[in-house]
Amino acid sequence: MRVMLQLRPASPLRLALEASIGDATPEPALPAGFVLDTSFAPTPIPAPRTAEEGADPFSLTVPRTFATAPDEVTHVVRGTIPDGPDGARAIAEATAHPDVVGVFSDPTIETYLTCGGDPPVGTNRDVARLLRVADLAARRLDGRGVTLAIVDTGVNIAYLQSHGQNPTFNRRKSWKPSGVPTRPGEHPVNHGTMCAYDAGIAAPGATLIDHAVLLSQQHTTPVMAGLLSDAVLAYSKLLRVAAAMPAARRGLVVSNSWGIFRQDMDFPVGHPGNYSDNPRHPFNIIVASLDAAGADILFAAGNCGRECPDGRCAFGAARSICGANSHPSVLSVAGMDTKGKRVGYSSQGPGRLSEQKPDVLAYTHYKGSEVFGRGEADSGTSAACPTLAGLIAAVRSGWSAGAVSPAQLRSLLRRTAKDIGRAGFDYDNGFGAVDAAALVAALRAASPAARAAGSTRRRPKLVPSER
Amino acid sequence: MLTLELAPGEATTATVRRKLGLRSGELDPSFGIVEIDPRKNLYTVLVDEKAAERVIGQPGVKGPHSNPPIEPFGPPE
Repeated sequence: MRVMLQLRPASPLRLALEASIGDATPEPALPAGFVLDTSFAPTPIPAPRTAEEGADPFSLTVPRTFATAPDEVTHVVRGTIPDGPDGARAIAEATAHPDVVGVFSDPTIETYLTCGGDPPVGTNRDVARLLRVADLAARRLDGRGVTLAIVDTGVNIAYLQSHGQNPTFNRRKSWKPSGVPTRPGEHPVNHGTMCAYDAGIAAPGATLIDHAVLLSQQHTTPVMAGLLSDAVLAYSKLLRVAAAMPAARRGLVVSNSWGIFRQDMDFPVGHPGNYSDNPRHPFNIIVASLDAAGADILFAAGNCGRECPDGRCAFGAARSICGANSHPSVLSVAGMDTKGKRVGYSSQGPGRLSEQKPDVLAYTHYKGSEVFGRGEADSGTSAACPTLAGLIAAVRSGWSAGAVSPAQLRSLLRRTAKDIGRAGFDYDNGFGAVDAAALVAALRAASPAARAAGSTRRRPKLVPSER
Repeated sequence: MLTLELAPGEATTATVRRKLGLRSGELDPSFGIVEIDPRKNLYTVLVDEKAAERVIGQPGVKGPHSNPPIEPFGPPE
């Protein structure tokens, strides 16, 4: 294990160490078992002093001064000692050394991960830059000709327009549960409007449709919730939307930033009617069916990450990426901030229906729609999912589902993601951070006969970011 | 929720009620007969729990399946 030794002022050992570092002088005799880190110079530590005689100079509650004179300061050096019984002997040996004040742990320290309630990390402009939106738009990859479904709490188009977006909206292809008084596109500003805004960053040309399953009147607590059967109805409508599109121009992207937070509302795992682990559940069947019909389906991975889970998470030790959020026919989207670091609430895999979840990291926790208040972040894997859905809609402007199937696109997205964390796939980061330029380059290589991607006059070179 | 295999033309409330022997009010008419996999002629319906227990075991009928509440993932609380 790693430790620090604190050495007494002007101790012979410290002086000998200083003399030995950086030249050929042999190291002085160190406590047995301690291996010195020679890259770490002995570092002075001021000595605490109290005005009050007899007071503890290490008390945090008495007034203190700190002496920095060379004959008063202690020094720390660092190194390693063995684990196990040999380590205990080494600590005893070092502690007994006349030049050593004490042996202290030297634990690994890390930057904190972004958590719920933290201020935004970057803005929607940063996200646009990171997703290479200007380059994509110059190639006419902006969502034009693509239908983008927000399956959520409903969308408010007027709010989007008042915040700088001007999406095309199709009310006829939208849907709401029975009894909801507001019309699609005019629902109260909430989570679904945030999702629509975030999707619009990369796909301003997409046609939005609004499937407000979480406004269902079937389930009253909490207010913004629905039943899975509401989602079945929405997906049956989306199946018809997909089927009505000519295969050569099929482009339907479906963003879902919702799921279940607890196992006890579901039938137990192993029960034939269970949802979380059961590909035969009607919703999991219709998800696979919509994928086969040519839709790109994205689900938020969830906010039950081990570092700072949402307080509603009640999975215990069970895997939290479950049901359709873990379906092999969808992209399960984890969240990272605009510094490229996974946010602490982003759920880890493995998934229930498919082990290798989440699939990729996309941007979240940035200042964007401000739906939840001025200066508040668009946060959660809730924001990561539509942010990536926007990118998928953008590239679908160039490559229809007839040219590149949803399964092929998922595969390319995983393959071109920028690997972060442990090498290769891992359960924190999936296959890595989405890389828009690398994805487009891979699409061009895989399907050069793209519909629109080659038709632009101005054709800036898309260079994959450093990997 | 139950899943049903239905032949072409059978996906109507009247046919499903007759086929499964459902009484009035046992089949949720606002949900209807929802196609979930056109390739396999699979549909789903919402029925009350007692009716579900009665019809399970009939040919082409599977379930009952859970219908849990779903919530938005965010903002993290």
